[in-house]
Amino acid sequence: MALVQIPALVGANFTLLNTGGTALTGSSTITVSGISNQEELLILIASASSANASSEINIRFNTDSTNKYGYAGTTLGATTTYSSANFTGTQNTAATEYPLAQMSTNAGSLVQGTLRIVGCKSTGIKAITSLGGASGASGDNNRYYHTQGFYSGTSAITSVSIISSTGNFDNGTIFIYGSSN
Amino acid sequence: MENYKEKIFNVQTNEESFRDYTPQEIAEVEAAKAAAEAAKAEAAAKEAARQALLAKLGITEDEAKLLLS
Repeated sequence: MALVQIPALVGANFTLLNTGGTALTGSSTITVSGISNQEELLILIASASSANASSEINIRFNTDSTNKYGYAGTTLGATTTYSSANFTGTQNTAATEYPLAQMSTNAGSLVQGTLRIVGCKSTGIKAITSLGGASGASGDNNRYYHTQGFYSGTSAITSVSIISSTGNFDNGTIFIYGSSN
Repeated sequence: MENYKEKIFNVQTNEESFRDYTPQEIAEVEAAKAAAEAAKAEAAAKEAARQALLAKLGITEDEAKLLLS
């Protein structure tokens, strides 16, 4: 019987691509470009905030604003009084961006979150897991989105954009970790 | 004040640059801003109506919760 050599499994091996992180200031869209040959990405957003209250913080890949984003999961909303409607499911199979969280009605609200994207250098669908939330900062209507989903663009991911739906970013850092395996 | 520019940081060159928004992107931002303002106004109106109702009934928020429990 012939012996067959099985290649050793190579696990993920992440490194920080944007050394020190990229500051979230001065624009409402901040793009980290030049990403190359990464199979997986881990995006960490620390203390992001817009100058405008109630801003939605969203993510796009390859500056693609077409409806290639899909997600499903949970929305947790914080209103001034309890309501069962604070806890809802969320889904969209043809979104133009991927939602992370929404700031409260106070512009000091801070958004934190992570996204992990698998299949980034393939021509196939990229799978996304995302957890995002925002502090109230004495405001309300801040929203947490906990979702899984996809980006169906067929090109390898070469850039990641974080977008404030209203107002320039005035606080925070985005860290992009990548693994070529 | 929104500057309608995208800030781009290239991880290969460590260079930072700016790109002007397209007219369509500016329209999207303006629409989002209007929606956020409307949501904020709606939340404020609801809260004012709630406080007015509590005052009209002459009860506290905790007493209202007790009534509804």
